[in-house]
Amino acid sequence: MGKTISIIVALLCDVDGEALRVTESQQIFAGSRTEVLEIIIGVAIIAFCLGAASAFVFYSRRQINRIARMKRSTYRDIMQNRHG
Amino acid sequence: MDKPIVTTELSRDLNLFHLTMMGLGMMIGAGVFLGIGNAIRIAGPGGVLLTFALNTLLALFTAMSYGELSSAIPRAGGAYNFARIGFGRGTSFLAGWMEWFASSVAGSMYAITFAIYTVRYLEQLGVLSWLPVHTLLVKPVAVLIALFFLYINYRGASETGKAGAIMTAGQTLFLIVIAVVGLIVAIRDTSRLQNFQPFLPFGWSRLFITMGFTYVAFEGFEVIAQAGDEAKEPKKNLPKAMLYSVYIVGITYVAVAFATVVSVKAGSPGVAGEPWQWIGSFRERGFGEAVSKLIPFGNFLLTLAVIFASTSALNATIYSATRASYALGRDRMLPGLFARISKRKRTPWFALLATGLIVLLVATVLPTMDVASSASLMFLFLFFLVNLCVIKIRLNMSDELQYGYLTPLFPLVPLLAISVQVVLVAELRHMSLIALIVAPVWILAGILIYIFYSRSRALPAESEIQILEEVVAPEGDEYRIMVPVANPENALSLVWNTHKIGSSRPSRIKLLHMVPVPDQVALGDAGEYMTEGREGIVEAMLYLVQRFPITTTFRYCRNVARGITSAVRERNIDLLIMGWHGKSGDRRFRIGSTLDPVISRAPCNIIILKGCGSKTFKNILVPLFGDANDAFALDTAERMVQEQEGEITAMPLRGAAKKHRGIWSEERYLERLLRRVEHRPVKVRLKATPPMDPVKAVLRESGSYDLVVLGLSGSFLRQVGVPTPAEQIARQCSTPLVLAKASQGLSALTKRWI
Repeated sequence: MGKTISIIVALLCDVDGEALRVTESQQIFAGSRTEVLEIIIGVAIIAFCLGAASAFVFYSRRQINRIARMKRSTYRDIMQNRHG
Repeated sequence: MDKPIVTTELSRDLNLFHLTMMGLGMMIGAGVFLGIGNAIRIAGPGGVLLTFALNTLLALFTAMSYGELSSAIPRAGGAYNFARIGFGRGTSFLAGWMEWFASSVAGSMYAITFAIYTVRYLEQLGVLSWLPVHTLLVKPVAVLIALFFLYINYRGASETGKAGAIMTAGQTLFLIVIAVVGLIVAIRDTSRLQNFQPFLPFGWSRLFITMGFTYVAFEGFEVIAQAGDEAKEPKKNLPKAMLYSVYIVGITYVAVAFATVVSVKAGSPGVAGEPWQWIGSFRERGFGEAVSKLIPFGNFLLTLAVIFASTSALNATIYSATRASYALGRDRMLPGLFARISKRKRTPWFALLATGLIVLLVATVLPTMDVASSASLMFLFLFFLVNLCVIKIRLNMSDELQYGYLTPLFPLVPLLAISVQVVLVAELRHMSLIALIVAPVWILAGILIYIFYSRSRALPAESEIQILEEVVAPEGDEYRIMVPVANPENALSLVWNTHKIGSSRPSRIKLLHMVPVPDQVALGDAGEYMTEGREGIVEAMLYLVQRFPITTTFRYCRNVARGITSAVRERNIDLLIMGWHGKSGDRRFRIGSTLDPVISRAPCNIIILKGCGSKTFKNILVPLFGDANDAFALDTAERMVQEQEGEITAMPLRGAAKKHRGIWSEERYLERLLRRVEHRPVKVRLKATPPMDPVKAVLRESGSYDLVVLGLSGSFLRQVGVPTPAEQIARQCSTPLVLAKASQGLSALTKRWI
């Protein structure tokens, strides 16, 4: 986390667009500003996709269990018992 | 003497674990082993992670559509069944036809993958030194393994699920081990993370190509949908299994792709150039080469994993293809032989035999990888179709189906999936030229079979609405009014008022009587239900025949509301006039179980009459809500009121002013409304609303009038919720009442299209 923050700070401070010189992050990702930005955006997208997938799956699981307890489960019944 | 009738059906013995493993088994097949190396080569080290992460989300969207439909329609057939209910016979036949082919060809690809790796391993052991050309063994081994799994499938659903589950557990475990080892290596030696630089060496656009290429590795939920007839608690277990399998597989793929990239250390012996370039240079074998560097005995373990993976995928694809052809046979789209179930094993033996022939033929004769690409093309088309089906079925049949699961964020999720799938289909053209030939040829063959065989023989679907008897008048350009007549008592009053509403312009009236047929009765025997309601129609015809050209129709269906909306669409109706007894028998509905869906879905103007009888009206109250229905309510009142002597009172309600802030004055608003309607010589006066709740105000005023005409707002998507003020008034008002809902531009167009 600390490394990520230091990379972001370095990106914000790097005005001339040349190679980054951040002591700790340099060991892992040493490259141009564009390259590091690409990594940050890429990792953020991966995290978003997997996070959203997790949220969908857990929400759906709850919903399936709730519907399974209902006697009737047309769309109307489910919507009317949304919080039931 | 008649022979005793013996019926057979598929046994329900697949639980959540079996179903999830079946899905996993079909997904973790050859796709991921062959895909990672190529994805790294095309999109770079970061691209492969992004590819699998984005595909996970996309596949989950389609899995949610599959889950919703499978929970509501848990029958063998998958996409074929959904298309049949959503779009009718022709499209569903094509869906089943392509599903059968895609799964069968994928099966033969897995059989060959198994054979290639088995022969390669035997080669390394030196067992095949006596053979001059080892590749000669590939095809016979492929045939043998395909025959073995055909037999396993013949043994029955339970054996199919159990055999698949054991193999899938093995291969998933292997992939998890690789992912964990990769993670440990990366933590211990952080310099390996530099393998991700450059993250996307060829830019972001390459992701579409790799997503299309590897999407095949996410198609396993189709096989779960096929198991509808054999799943325990299908409403619950089918959607869960679909979502779990996609989720598990997505996380595993991303982790394994990560491990593959970090498995090679830059500059180590034998590694030329950047590690990702080195892995990508092996293409399909890239994953294997990387794994052999990551763990001891990597080659041996990889061979073992590929054998596990290809056999479980083969098992699942044979299962899926068999069920697709079984469903086609069950509905007589293909000869009835396809639906024959073995009384001993309770499996569809002929469908299995036909599937086996395709698998064996393709495995021995055709270039598998190219034909498998066309299978991917068809799978994407199927998913596209299923996403359309979930939208259409939710909008048309949501009050009839018992759901086990509802797709969240509807309809955004299926629409998003459709859009991306279109792009992926376009990108698949880069993969194989043969796929672009084979897929259309198979589809064309399907269309010809449907036209010359299936169309005339197919059994009617449960949901299809049949026109039983129709008396048709010549078509013209008049205003088209449809009047559904439910019983003889209401028929005359409906017709009387229809006459008043339609008399001011050239109109064509279509009388409709829906004949609901109980589920227990076959649609073919619906003729017995014809008697009831016929008197009303005849009476109405006698009255109106002198004045208007008439079309009368009898339709039989499972659901009256759906029958009416489908008739409105088919006949391009402008105005629908219905009667209402004044209360809803079912608390779940705001107005009534038939009227609520019709108001939401019918793409035309709607007028609902309550207690109007055959009276004439001199004093009509029109409360104005400030929405688009006000003008139509005023127009309807002008048609209902007695000419010359009649008077209309417009009463703008509190709250209406808020909607027109800035231009609002009661006089100006009424003036604008009157400009929009075809104003007749009727006196319209304005009345101020008493300072109280609008519902109470209208109810109090209504006693002084002969008739109340209310504009009824109805949302396109909102089918449930609290009653609107107009609905509250309608339910409580004892004065004769008319509800008027105007068809509104884009909304009506969308409804007609869907």
